[in-house]
Amino acid sequence: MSMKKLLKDGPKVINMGMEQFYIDLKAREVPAVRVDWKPPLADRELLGKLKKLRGGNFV
Amino acid sequence: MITLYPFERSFDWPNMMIVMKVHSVYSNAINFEGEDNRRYSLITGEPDYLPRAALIEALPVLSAGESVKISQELSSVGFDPSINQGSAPVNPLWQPLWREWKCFLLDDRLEYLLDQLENPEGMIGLGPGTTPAGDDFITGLITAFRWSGVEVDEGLVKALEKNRTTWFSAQMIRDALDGYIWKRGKKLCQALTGSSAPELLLAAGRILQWGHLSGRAWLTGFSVALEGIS
Amino acid sequence: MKRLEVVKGEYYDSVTLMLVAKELKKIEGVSEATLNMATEANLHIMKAAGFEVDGVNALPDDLIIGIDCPGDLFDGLMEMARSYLSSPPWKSGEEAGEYTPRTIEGSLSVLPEADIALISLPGRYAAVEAMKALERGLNVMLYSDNVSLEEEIELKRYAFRNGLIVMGPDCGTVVINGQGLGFSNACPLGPVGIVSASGTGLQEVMVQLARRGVGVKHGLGTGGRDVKSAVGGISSLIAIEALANDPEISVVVVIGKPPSTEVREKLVQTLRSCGKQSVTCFMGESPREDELQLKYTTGLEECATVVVALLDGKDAGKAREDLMNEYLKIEALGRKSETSGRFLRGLFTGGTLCYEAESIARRYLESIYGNNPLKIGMKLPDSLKPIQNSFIDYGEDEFTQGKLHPMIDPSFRTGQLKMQSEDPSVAVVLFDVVLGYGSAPDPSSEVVGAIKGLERKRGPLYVAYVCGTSGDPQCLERQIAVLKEAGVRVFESNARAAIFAAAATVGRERR
Repeated sequence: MSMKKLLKDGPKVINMGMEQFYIDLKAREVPAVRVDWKPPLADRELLGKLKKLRGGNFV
Repeated sequence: MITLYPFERSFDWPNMMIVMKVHSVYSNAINFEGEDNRRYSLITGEPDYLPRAALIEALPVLSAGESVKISQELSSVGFDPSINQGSAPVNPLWQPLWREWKCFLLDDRLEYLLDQLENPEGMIGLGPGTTPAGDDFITGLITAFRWSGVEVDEGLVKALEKNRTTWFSAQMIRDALDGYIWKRGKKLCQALTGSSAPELLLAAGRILQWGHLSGRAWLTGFSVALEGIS
Repeated sequence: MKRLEVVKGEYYDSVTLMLVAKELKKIEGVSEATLNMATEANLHIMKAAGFEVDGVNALPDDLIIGIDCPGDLFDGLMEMARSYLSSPPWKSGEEAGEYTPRTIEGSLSVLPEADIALISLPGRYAAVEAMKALERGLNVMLYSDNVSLEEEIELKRYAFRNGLIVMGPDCGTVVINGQGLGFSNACPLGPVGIVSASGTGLQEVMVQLARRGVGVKHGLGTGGRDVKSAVGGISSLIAIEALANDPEISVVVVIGKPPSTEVREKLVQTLRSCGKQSVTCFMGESPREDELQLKYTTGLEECATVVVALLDGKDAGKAREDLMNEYLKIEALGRKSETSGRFLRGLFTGGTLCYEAESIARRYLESIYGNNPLKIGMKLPDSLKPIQNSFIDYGEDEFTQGKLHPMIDPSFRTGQLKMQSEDPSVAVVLFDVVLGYGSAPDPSSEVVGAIKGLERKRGPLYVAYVCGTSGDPQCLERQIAVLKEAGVRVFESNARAAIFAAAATVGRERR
């Protein structure tokens, strides 16, 4: 994707943050998807546990 | 003893008359225990299909412990709960989406369930919720494995036989081990092999709406299993 | 009784906080409810509102809930607040039953053809997400402010190297192919391309063009800092080039506050050689002589007027002259008007509208204070206590940390407006009402609610500008009517309202 493409065929929007912006775009039928964004939690531990799962001793 | 006549049933409900005892009554479902000690359910809406379920126009007024006869002579088959094992692979386009679902564990502060992964029998009966979240997690996990054609540990089966959790979720886990799935879950699997984003978002959304934590925990388990396989 | 409580370390977006406060205020006995992230600025505001914040142990990432109610209700209300926060009863997504992706990657699965990320996350997270978006080939509209200069430069350089554009930070309005992102008004498509360092500046020019029957194809934001020498105008230059190369665009417009000298040179050179007619609007500058292909304006309505003249093949100078004559008439009206008090208070939700209005007022009034004043040394020690002639921009940082912009939630400006109106030394209250997508559903009624029932015997003169078009969701005609019915003098551009208000105040200060 480039700026040229945006100006030619856009906008097609990924909305992160205030939902009202997304709602307004959808109401005008502008292609849009919203992200239910949350601050990243400390999921390093989670990833560690998942890595163990790959080794998976009950599979 | 009254006789009930559902108009539609799941494939795995035998076409005969069975005597059952009412186990629990809800606003949109009644669960029964059959003579084979399995759960059978009467539901009023087809999205709620699960293994051994039948659709009835209106739920009769019953109380726990009552015995009823349920006849399937008037019903047609409306739902096949079997998981299509090793069926079409997940569309790679969806990987970033299903990978998000494991976050629910963190949201709901259920990370401790993951500690049980190496000792899954320990997960049974663990966690908050009317069906303990650990059970929903395990069901989702097992479902994903079965769907992907992966074998699951015998230890789980033995753990279930020790009656360590609620009757309903023990039945649910058993069904998953046997390769049976609820309709919402089946729709999700179908959507994951397909290429329609709206279909997938809706299927996942419907599971999330189910129960307070149940659907979320199920989806998390499903996602964790897919992560493990990929 | 005013009491507050701290909720530690939970993240809530500003809309949720506002809606919970709204729900609490509906309950009988509650005269005030306010939920804010515990930033220094917000603590200051809560203290001014009478909450006991001294000695409160809270970090900026903590939430403070303040409620004014009978003492015995407090605990129950706090319980309710916490439950609303954890499961908001108004969540729309769940009704549709759809899963909402939580990452950029997930959302790209759903909309692989996406070409722009509209980011309005808190500043400290926004830059990271913006970079992720750029790395995935998305252009970025960065509504968030509180992004550091270093981060801005890094993002824009990356974008430049990869054929993308970063519009922002602090960019509230973008228009692509006639479709607005963020705050925008319903405007027609047309042969004009605009590059703007200012959100409400872009809105005002588009609205003034629309009222003259002219449409805009693209309105590209650059953020307020782009034309400073440190950033070097990266986004502005990318934008000008793109608009210049568009065969459907006949006039290229550049709007903003005056740029740094070296950036100005680059911009002007690029415009001169772009092969199209162009118009600059660097607000508050002294007027310059027009060139053949490049016209210089210093006001937003003036800019629109000149663009229209160019498209019609008419003389820009004549168009300006006609506009100035209209302004003179309004000024004369202003000077003749009657009111009590001595000073002018400009209370704005749109930053650039405030800036332009203050620039105009400075031609009439000796000294003007403010929270972001044009003149050094005129900054108010406390923006909640304006003195003499003051212009306050309620969209400034101090009022919007972890709080909604006043265009979305006008309640704070409304409260301040009421307070100012009661001050007998205030002769004229000038304010803006900004309509369009993203803005509050009925801003005029909120202001009128504050105006009615004033205790002061003879109230001030109210002067307003409603920035909107007839296609906007709030219904322009009705918004104007509501104000007029309440006795507000409503004008057709930000400049006209400012001229009238300033002229009405001239000479009163010395009384």
